[in-house]
Amino acid sequence: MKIKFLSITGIVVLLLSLLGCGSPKQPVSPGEGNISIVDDLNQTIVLAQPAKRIISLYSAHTENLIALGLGPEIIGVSTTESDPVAQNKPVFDYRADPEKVLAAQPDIVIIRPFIKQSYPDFIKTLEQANIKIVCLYPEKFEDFDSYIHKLAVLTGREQQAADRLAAFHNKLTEIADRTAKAPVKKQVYFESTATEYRTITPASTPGTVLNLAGAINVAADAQAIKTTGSIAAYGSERLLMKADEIDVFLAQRGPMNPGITVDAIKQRPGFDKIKAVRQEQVYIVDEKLVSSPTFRLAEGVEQLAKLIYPEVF
Amino acid sequence: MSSSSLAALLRRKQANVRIAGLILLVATVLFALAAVGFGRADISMVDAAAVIYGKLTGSQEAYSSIHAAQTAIIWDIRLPRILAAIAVGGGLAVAGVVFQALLMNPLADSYTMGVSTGAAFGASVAIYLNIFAQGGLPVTVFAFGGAVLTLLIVMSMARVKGYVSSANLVIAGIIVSSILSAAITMVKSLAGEQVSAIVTWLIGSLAAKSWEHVVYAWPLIMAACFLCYYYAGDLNILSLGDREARSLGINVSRLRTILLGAGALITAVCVAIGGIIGFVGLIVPHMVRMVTGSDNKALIPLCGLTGGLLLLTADTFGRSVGNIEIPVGVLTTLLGGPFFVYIFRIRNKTLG
Repeated sequence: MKIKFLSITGIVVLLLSLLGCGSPKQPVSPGEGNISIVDDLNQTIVLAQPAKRIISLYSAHTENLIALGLGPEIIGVSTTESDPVAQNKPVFDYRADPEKVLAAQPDIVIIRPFIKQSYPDFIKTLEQANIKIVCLYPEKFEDFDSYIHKLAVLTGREQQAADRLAAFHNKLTEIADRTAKAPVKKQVYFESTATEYRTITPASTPGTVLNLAGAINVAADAQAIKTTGSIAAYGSERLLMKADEIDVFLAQRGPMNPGITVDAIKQRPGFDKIKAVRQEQVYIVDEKLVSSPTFRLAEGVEQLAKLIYPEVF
Repeated sequence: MSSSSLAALLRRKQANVRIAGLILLVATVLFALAAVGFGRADISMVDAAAVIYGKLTGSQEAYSSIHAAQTAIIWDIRLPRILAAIAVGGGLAVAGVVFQALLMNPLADSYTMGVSTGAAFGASVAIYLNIFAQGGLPVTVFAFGGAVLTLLIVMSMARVKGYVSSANLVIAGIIVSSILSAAITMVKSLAGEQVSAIVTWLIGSLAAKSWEHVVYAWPLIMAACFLCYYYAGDLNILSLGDREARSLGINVSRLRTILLGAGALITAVCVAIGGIIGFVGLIVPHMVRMVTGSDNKALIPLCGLTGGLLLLTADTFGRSVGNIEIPVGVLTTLLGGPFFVYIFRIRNKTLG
């Protein structure tokens, strides 16, 4: 055994030294050479080495890059950042002129499909100037891992990504084990917007968060407004038809549903008939914690689980 | 033509207006009852009738067999919305008639004076503060305040040497309106990505109206409409021109102030409740005028009824067709424009 091992090592060393003599090329270490990923617009992005100068134009991307330890590599952020590390970074606005982005000479600019759809000229100008544009957005929860992996490949942080994802899934499993102990499954309604009382599609990120928190989505029959979107039409009448089944009423507060309060929900016409309103089980959750594709989704799941099943926490 | 035959003609005309009004009133009541049966939730007409009967007579047992949630849908959601639609539609149409006669401008409507822009500005500010200052400010009250303030500013601007002329009113309205539009745009841009709340309000929708809205709106709108009707005869004379009206002993400036106040109050209430619902105040008066002629005594009541009926139909259609509710403001604007073109063509044919 030992002899075999030694001989193999010897051969390898010999081969390597021969290679070294034959060509002056540096050995290929992981993290260099050709990096390539396919983004969510099916464009293949190829980099010679991991990106060192990154501009992120979406707060969730920024947060995830910081989570992978890329704080110093981020040279620009979007106008709406919540992560403290991103607060002092130069701000880039996709509604403004692309000149500022060009002047910064980033290795990659990470956007989401919404930006490309709403401001195509901004993106086109950057692409013509040979700036690498990466468009990513995990529509569904199950895409989260591959999305983080893509970010990691682009920046050479596969190891950190694997560690963070493992911790993330461990936390989710832990919460699922806890909520499984609850004596009764609770039925929850989740409001995405106050206008027209819209809810979420079961397959969307908040829909999955709701499932992971051990809740049953009352409005699982809701139809999506757009085929790929996360928002689903519901309306006051369908909602009130389920008045007796809703144990907990959750509403997200954020850009999609600004300024929502518990009192505002209680005062809506006819809502006093809803079980959750009668039993004071109406809660506001931060939209970022349940909708944004970041590692904080685990916190969102935990928060929801604690609101829905306080008896097992 | 002798005076007796003229009187007979006038009597016949009044009788015709009464009959038309009665038909419209009956139609409105029937439509309202039918609209109670429309909606996402499947509730039978019998149950709906039982709930309304029981609630009105105060007899709990009439609807005790019906599920509490269904009762809430009928009584707390559909009925207030139906009544709000009738009040807003009727109010906007009456305000349209009054403004068209007052400003002697067939293109004037309830929004010409900038009252609606004022209401929109008030609402935008309230929504903005609710989002960023965590206050529970009532948007409806702010919208109403904005409308009334705007009216006062426009009136004081238009008053030159103690006299308000219709040309000055239109100009002052346009000036104030454009300044406020700019202010609304500023509030929108300040709101950043949370702008959706403001935009949704501005579109104009009758969703989620409660009894509170109905209880405040109906008396105010009705009172202002009756005030307009009371002065309808004077308004007819006023449309001959200021000098003629004055020589017939009418205090033109006072009459104009009163009617402007009434029309603007109606508009303020309507906008505060439903946001900006376009074209109702423009189309309905033109439609009715084609049938009745331009006698304001006939126009005001008939337009009120027609407007209510029209908006009720549009809103019921918007809320019960398809998966997504269509805000009534979108519907009236989409259908209103082409319809206005059609009316314009017809009118020119009959005149030519």
